[in-house]
Amino acid sequence: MNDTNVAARFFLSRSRCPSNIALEVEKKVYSYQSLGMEALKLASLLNNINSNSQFVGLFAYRSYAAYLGILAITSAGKAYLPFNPKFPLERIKSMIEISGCTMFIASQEFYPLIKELLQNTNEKYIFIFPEEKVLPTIGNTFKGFCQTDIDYQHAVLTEVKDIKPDDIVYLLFTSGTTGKPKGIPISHNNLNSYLDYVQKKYPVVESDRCSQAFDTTFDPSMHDIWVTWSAAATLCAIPQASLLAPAKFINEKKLTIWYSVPSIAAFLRKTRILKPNIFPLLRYSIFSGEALPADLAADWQKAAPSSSLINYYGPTEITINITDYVFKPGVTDKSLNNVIALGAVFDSHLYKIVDVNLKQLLVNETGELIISGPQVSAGYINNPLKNKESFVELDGKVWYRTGDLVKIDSEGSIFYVGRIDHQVKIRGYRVEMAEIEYVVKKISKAENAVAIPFPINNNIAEGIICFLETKKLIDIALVLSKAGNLLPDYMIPKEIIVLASLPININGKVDRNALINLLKG
Amino acid sequence: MSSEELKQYVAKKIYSKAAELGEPMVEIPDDFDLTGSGIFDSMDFMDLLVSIEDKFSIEIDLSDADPDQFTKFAGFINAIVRK
Repeated sequence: MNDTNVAARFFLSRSRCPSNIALEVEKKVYSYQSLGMEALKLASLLNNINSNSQFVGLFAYRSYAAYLGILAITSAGKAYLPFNPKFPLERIKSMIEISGCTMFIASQEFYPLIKELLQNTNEKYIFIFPEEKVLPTIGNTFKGFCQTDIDYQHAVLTEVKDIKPDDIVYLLFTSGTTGKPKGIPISHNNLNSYLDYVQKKYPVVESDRCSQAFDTTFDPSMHDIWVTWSAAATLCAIPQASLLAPAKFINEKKLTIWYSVPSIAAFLRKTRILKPNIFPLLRYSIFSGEALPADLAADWQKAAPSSSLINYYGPTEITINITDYVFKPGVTDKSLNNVIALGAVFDSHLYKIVDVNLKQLLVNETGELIISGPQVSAGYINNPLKNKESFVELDGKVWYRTGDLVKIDSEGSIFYVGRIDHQVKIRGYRVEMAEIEYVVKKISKAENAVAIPFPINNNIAEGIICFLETKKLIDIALVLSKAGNLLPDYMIPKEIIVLASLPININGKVDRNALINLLKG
Repeated sequence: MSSEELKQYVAKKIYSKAAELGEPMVEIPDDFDLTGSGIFDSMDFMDLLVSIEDKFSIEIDLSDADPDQFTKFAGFINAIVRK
């Protein structure tokens, strides 16, 4: 077997432990043997369909088809492009347009969106419905395949397709400043480098039961899936209803590994569910995606006393995570402004903390973190302008500019200070204020729009407030509802405040601090 | 605090959020999702918890409640009043 293909990891686990449970989703369980078999059949169909589409879209979310799809697409040597039913149609259309994707694996949670998509296009798409015995009635302008087509493939693959290390395994999108999302391709080599590193440092074993809490449009989900399958362990997909308050799920499913954004821990604490020793079985408690408050980490550690608590950090462009910090309760936990340290950059990579001229800074000086190494993506697809800004050449190597301001102490621990631009994280998603401003300004026809992340507690933005500069009468409800058609829900402003003029600072720019002070009242 | 008082209070919050989004509601079904309905998301739910604690001077403890239930309109009211 060619093990350059990430999917080979699943099939190695399958030969070792065929009867282990690979996946638990929607109250059903699938062994490595059976999931592998179904994936090879679906992979064969993907290869037998005559299509030049390198990408296969996943119109499946927290369903069997989503996980089967990821395994099948990867095994077929194609790249998966996950969609989210919470995304507005416009964003989905841009993702399809930028990637040129024409083939999709779909399940029912996406049917309303697919109907809308088909009504709005002349493109001939191909849809595969692995969970349907007959084609669903969602329009008639597409070519469709269902379960029986998958079952009756004439030439079924017996192993994963050979690929080249630089071939793309998945494509994720982040928001762009002009309103167009940016596509980040991650190669098999990028992902294998990541998996090798974390599996060696924090080994997962075949008896482990791992959470799958992250949306597949957010790359920590790729950690959940591939770390679990590399170890012949069990992936437990959390249903939407349990996502916010997963305590019961963690214990009922006897999870041994938990991975989520810190917001979920904060919610459990807020509702007083997070009590000492409530999670006795957890071996690892992992957090990333947003700042981890030190007091929250301490409370979680008490709730899961036998677990190692790991704080990860990493932009999607460098494949999931690139720094790690293991929380040591009480001892000398490192934090800055009550936020746990990011820790050290993986020793498989080079890093520098630099000023605006890319000149390296000293210990304790604040600068931008730049990274070079095998996890760094080859660059945004079809976006040479953005690539020139973010992927720079230095000392004969390519470095990714994270746009994150950090500083490092004399012991080598890195601390997060803030974003270099006005990009912030909301509910784990990276949001550029400029994109919101662009959209709101356009639909309101105001002179100017300024989006402010507010309130910020423990360095986590809880929402966005948008200021509009205009002397005209604005229908705020209408602007918000139109914004809802163009932006994902986490980017929609919580409130719009209209001012006749915006405060200006000495550089002639809008004084964001004055607006924040206004909000603080 | 009676169940009816709390119900009124929560309903008012949902109506005003819905109106703000330009999608006014006339009735709130018992299974209205308080954490991801497009009208009410998880952040609104957190805000709601804080405002209920302030308004009624109570401490909300959902440790024995079923998340399938307490994230829905009627189930949420029951989970809090039961305490």
